Amino acid sequence: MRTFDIVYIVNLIPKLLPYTLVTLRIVLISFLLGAFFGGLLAKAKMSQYKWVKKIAFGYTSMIRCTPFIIMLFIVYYAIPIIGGLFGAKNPNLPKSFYAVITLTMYAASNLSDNFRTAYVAVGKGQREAALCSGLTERQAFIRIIFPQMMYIAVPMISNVIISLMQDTALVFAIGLVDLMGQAKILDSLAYNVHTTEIYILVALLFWLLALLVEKILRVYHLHLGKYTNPRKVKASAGGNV
Amino acid sequence: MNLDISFAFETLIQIIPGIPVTLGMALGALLIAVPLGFLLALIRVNKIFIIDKLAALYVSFVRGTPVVVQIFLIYSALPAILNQMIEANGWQLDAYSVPPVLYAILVFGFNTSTHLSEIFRSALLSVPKGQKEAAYTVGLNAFQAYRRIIIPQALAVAAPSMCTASMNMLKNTSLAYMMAVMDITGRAKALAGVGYQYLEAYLDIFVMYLILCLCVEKLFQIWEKRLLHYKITA
Repeated sequence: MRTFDIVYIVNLIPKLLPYTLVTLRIVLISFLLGAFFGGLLAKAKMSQYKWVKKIAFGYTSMIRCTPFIIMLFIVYYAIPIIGGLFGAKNPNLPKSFYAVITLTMYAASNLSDNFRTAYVAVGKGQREAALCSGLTERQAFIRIIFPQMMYIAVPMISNVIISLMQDTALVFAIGLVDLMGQAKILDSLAYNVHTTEIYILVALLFWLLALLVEKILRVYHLHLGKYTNPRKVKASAGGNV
Repeated sequence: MNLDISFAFETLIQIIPGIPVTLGMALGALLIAVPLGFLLALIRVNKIFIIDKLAALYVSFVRGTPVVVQIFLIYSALPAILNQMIEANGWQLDAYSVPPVLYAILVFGFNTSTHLSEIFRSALLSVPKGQKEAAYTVGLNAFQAYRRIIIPQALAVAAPSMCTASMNMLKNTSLAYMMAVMDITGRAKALAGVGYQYLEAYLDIFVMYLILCLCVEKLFQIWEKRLLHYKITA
């Protein structure tokens, strides 16, 4: 019976640590893209046109019902075909492209819900008051509504980022070498003898990243809340991970 | 390369036997997750010395790591541990013949239990303290107070989040193919591998999960309505 090998884990750290950056980069890019499209989607959900609303809500409920890995494969196999219809011959796209597209689809869907709840929670009166005091629609949004919205949305956004990071662990399935992909490579290089040790390290790294993201966003949340009642800030700053 | 519609239809019919496997996995996982999640929530709400810190650590770890990593961990570590136990106790069992579905149920059960524990915890905290005190005052014991007073109110709060957690778990079961479970995904992948018609197969899985998830959502909505109905008439 093979015993559990702590030394092996310690020696593994320098081999895996650089790949957390790959994971983080994918998460960051898809989060930013997701925030952009999520904002648009939130706007569509509050649109006055019924069919725009329907499409936006339909998209979100479709994403909510589809496992990430299935959507990843569909994107991976469908994009070259769709590209072929438009005459792009055998597009040699990097695998991270497909990963980012799929992650963005999920991030946009989740963030749009958060943005919408936050926007509704801020209240109409704030916008009306801002417009009355002579701000333009744009100024009212940037200076009055957005900061209050973010204060409400940030704890939820932290959850979205963490679930985005956990979805990123699946992109190895299309052959992208991130933290998980590298772990799989190391696992097969070691003839699958040290599987448990390798994945314990991967789990610890993911845990660390999640705690880090949560910590950073909690600090940001407190920073955003500096103009609000400090007692209220303390009460609502609780995290989930 | 084009979409092969007839293949997609054939596959759709052939993966139907995978539905009971997927649903069975999800139900089995819920059977583990609901009691365990409730226990964890109770430990943390009542702040039992040291155990609540351990529970918090467990919840944080499981929630902070992706399900795939948990799958690989359990699937690699558990058979070895089981084997050691069997050798030590001299049982007449083969550790490597345990069907992978059981490991899948364990992974998804443990994973969902942490999500549910957070949901239950906030739901239990949302019931005002006075309710429990009032229940004790009229002579109920702790079990009766929870059973008749606190849990019905907490469930009404928790139901929407429980729906989300269950749906996430159902979606995660699509990863069970990594443990060679022949669920919807496993079947479709096996069929697709023959003619390299992966897109059609994945679209089939997509449709299947869409239907399953919408059904689950509908069921939860009905259940939620009943809970609220109970709350209003009470």
